[in-house]
Amino acid sequence: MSAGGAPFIGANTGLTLAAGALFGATAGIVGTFALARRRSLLADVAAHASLPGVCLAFLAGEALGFGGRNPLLLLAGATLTALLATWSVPRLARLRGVGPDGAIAVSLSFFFGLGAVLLSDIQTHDSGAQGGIDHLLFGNAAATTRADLATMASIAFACTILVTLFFKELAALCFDEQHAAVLGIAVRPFDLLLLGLLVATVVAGMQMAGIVLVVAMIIAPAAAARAVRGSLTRVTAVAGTIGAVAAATGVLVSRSMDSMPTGSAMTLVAATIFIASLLAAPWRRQGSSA
Amino acid sequence: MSAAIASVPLQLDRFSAGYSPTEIRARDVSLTLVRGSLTALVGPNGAGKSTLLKGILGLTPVHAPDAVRFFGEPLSRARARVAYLPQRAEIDWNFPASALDVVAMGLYARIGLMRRIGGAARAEAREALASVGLAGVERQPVGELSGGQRQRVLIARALVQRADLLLLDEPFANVDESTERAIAGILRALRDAGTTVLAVHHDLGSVRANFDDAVLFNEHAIAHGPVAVTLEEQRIARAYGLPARAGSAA
Amino acid sequence: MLQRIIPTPSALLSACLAALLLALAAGCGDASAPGSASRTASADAPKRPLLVCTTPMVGDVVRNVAGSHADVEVLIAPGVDPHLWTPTRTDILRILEADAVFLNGLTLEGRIGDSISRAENQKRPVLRIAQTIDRRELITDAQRAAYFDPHIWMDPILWGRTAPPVAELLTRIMPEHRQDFESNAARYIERAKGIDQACAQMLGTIPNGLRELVSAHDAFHYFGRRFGLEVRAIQGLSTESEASIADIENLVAIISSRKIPVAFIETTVSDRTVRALVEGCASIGHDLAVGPPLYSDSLGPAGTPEATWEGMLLHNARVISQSLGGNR
Repeated sequence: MSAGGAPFIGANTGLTLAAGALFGATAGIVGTFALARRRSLLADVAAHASLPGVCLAFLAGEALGFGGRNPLLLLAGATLTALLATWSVPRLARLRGVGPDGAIAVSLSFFFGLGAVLLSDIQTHDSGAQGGIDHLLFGNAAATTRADLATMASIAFACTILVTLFFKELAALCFDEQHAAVLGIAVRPFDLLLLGLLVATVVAGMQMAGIVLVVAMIIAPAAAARAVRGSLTRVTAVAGTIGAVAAATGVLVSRSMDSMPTGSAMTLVAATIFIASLLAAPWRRQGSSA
Repeated sequence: MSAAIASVPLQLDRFSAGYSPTEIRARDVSLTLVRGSLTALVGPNGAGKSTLLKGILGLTPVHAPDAVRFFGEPLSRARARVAYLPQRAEIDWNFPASALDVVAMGLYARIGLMRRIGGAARAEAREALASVGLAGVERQPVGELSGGQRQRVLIARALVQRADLLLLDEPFANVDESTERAIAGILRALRDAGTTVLAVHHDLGSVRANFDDAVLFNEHAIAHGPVAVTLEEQRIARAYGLPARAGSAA
Repeated sequence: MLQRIIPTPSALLSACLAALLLALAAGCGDASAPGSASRTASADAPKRPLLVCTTPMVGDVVRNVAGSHADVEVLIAPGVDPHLWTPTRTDILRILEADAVFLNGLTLEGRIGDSISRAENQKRPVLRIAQTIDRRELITDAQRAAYFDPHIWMDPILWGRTAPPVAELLTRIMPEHRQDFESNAARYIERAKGIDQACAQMLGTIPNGLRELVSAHDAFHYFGRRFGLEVRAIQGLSTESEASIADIENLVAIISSRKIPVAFIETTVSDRTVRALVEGCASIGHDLAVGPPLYSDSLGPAGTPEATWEGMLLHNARVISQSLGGNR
């Protein structure tokens, strides 16, 4: 069922396309490092932990009287709890009898559970301004506005600049942390930088792919780019390109169907590219050992 | 700082290191390496050899930085003169980087923050790869290299640092014979050029062939001196907790 | 990892922070609890039957028919989207405690779950008031024929007709008040007719080319049918599904080709999609204004005129008429 007179790429498609591609590229670039440093699940923790932040920001905005739906306030709240959760993971992991995977499970479910509680609390508010927060679970890319695009562009720009500036240090950190430390590279600050980049990407992607799926957009392009043989610079660039292409294709696919959610289309395309990369690079299926 | 101390590449004075206050794996180690020495750190499995090396470099949660001096200075002021080669198995070789990328990592400190790896750095890295016999694999992903090749890449990464003190963790572990010979040759050449080398080594059989000196270690430094003297049978038995005469090769 | 270990006070700290967050969440829950369910009657009266309603609109008709013979409790607070509302544990307990439960039905309360069937299994009287309306009068979903549009309170006449079935059920519980219930229901129908006339008068002044109502989600089909407005929305009958780009682009094309001047936001739905619509129209040179918020799936906050079904419909009719060039 096609539109009566609507151009295939109108302004709304264009906005979603631009924001999606920027997000995809950022996710691919940041994802390359997250994957290399085995931070995939941490990205998932960050995504799920952004829910209570959004809810708290909503409640705070409401209490302070400037409305709960201020997007920048919501992003700030999401960033705060996402950072808190990812920060708590290594600390929980150090506790006796918890371990790294236990820490991730505990942190993810605690923060997401908190978010669910807050969300169901918000639904009982007679503020008359609820709505919209629910959509962060699966994203609402179709309704991208120019303000959203501007936010996305600034986050993408900041992340890309930071990765470019500290490319060497991030690479050294991800490949061989101990060697980097002996070289005098400040491991902790750069680890925090990577965490910050990850959280920024997750928060930016919430509006696009949603809390539940955003991690797929961070990991799938980076994993697919591993099929490329060559320098880290090249793999990173390819991951960014795959992310952008996957997101843009997802937008166009969802545009061509009547009721296809954009965020899910993006992740499906990214996952398809990943599977294709496995078929194209058969040596990867054997895996390599140290 | 007296000239005498400044010329000592590594000095430990009752140094301890471990993973937690209740898990100290190296205790009260005192040790002095002279310039241009080629020393093996030997001892049984679990003796704490790697922990000692990491502790010296500040990589373990618990360590005593005041008990370590590099060329008379704390590590923070001597980093440019020290190179470290971790165990090959501790590195994620699936990392998407080429052999040249990894070797160039040795140059990161010298290149400095926010600066890109230039042509000169790349040339230097290429040269180092050639010197370990890996000319031609520059663009190959490290994940596709063999174990021996990976070890050589790490050696090349240490070489480009042009350090005066080289600390290696098991450089000969699980490598083929030709790689072992090549690495031994490189270490000897470094010694001849005045570089001080300390390597964790577990194979008592090949210590004599590849090293001049040895430190026999099991939580403490039991003996330190020329290989032939240090690895005298009774001492080995003590370090390895074996009855005397039970054999010299572990 | 690279410094000497400090025996993890940071772990303690994170635990404290977590506890704090939890306390905060609990605090919010407490603070809002009284707002979510309000009893209408005073406490000194002898114990009266408890009637639990889902939406404020259902509460309006039940309260009017029951008069002072029962306590009426509304579960869904004003401003809350009934499509997305999920009953809390307290809500479920109230449902199971109630002497009768009234809901809109026709899957408006999409997430009410099985608490209703549990109440029915316990032989509680349950009335889905929208389902008392003759099916031939219901509007079906454009995409799924078996699915009826639940937003029947938008047609005053139709909604007025839900009063007699309510009276009938109340009579079964309290036969002694039959006459009161019947006269209350009759009065509700009369009131509905009055509202209908007032709305028709206001909306009748909208010029012919402008009789188009664009809103965030498809809640206004009964309203449009009753008062002769062409109705379009970004999202479908339920807000549970996400608006697609195609939905937005198609609507942009229609709005700009018909020169529709205004799109309305709703109190229960995020305004994001409407803002996207405005930008889409702006890009092709059509200036679309964002209209004042309409009450679609809920009533206004307590204490305002819009807190009743009557006030809500009159508000909607007034702002729609004003925004589309009517003279009321």
